[in-house]
Amino acid sequence: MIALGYVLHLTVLERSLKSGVLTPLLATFGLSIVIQNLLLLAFSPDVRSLGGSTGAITTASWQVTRGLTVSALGMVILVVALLLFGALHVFLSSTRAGWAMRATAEDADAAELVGIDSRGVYARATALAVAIAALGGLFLAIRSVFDPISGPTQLIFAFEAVVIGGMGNLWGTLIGGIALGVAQTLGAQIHPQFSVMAGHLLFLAVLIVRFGGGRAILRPVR
Amino acid sequence: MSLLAVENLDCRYGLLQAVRGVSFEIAQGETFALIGANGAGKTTLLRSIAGAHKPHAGRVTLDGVDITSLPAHRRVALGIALVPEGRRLFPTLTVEENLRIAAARNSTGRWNMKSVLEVFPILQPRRHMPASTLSGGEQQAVAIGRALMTNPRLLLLDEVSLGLAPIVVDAVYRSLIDILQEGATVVLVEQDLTRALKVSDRVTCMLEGRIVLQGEARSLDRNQVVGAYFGLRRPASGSASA
Repeated sequence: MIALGYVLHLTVLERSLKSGVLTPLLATFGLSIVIQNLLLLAFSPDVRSLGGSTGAITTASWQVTRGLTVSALGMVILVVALLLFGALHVFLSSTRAGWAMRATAEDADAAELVGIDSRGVYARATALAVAIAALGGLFLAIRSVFDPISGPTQLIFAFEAVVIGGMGNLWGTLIGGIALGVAQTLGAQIHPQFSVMAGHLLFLAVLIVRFGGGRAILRPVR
Repeated sequence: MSLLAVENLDCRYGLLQAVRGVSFEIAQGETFALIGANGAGKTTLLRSIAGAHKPHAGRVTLDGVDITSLPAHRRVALGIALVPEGRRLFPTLTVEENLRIAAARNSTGRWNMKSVLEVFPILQPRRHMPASTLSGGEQQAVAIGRALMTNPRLLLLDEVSLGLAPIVVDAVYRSLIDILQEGATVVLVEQDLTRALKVSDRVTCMLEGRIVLQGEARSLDRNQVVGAYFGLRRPASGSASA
């Protein structure tokens, strides 16, 4: 997956970046449609899961109180996420390669002028991103079911988690993800079909509060 | 042999030709001032030397080696450092991170964190603050310090006094003169004629992408430079090269 991310950057993203920041968005969106259809052709639209082949951990749980149980898999995912965020934090704040990544993100042109190979940094960042997304996908496959077109739904959740936590804020993304998950679970308590909607409502509420508060809605139309 | 040679350099932005057939050479230890009005092509010329702008035609050589097609980060390793116009620090990185990121790997040169902070003592208490929280003068000091951290053989300074209060410019130049006196090779773009003539060995004036006047800073007459700067009259043939 790391190699795949590297190649993805050098072949697709680097070319599309030359025409502005929105072009890679369109290019990867197009690529995702191609991949989904290739997967449909190769693996059929059947729903699958890795849950069956991972053994006892999939269903194990601890009873904390009479009404509350914690699933072992959920804990494993949380711990792995915390470790991953911790590792990323240390990488970005205390290593030379991490500084180079932040510097390139802020000003690729100036980064070149202090001797940073911005092309290589972009490729390594993409490789890291693809690898982390693959790990997330692996856990999703163990915990739930998936088919060739489950990607877009997850993409919306990921996007919402990032926006709720604040763009460019590492730990905010973790908090955003947890907030989104809690909102969806609480929504499901009201009605099973309200689960995803509750997440979207939280996302919209955060957007409204962050960009202008109540005045954004009540602003008089001119 | 000259340290840097620029031969018939042409730089374009699409249809706009910013630098037209410029040639010059810079010797080791020389301070070379580039002056000219806004839009004369000075910044583009510096960026082409640093590798941040790809020239349309012409050659740039360092120690006689053609570096025209090398990307900017490889030129840094060869010893060219640019302090870009507008400072261009990494805003969320701290002062120390901004400096250390530029530090040459396994370098034993004159410049390291300690010596840069000695030249710019105002940065000492700011070391762990994000660069965006610094004043303009402090940011300019970080920008120069960041370029020095690469231990350059050729330092390119693009309008280090831009947007700074006169008293701050004086302070920045006091530090610069210390660096110049150690024998650094410097190309300086400066709007302030008096200052450019004072600190440099050789002055070159650009107008509309061409060199219109070139000469020893001591031998140039101020009126002659002003004339070339605004393109009011053709300079005398003795010291001119078009």
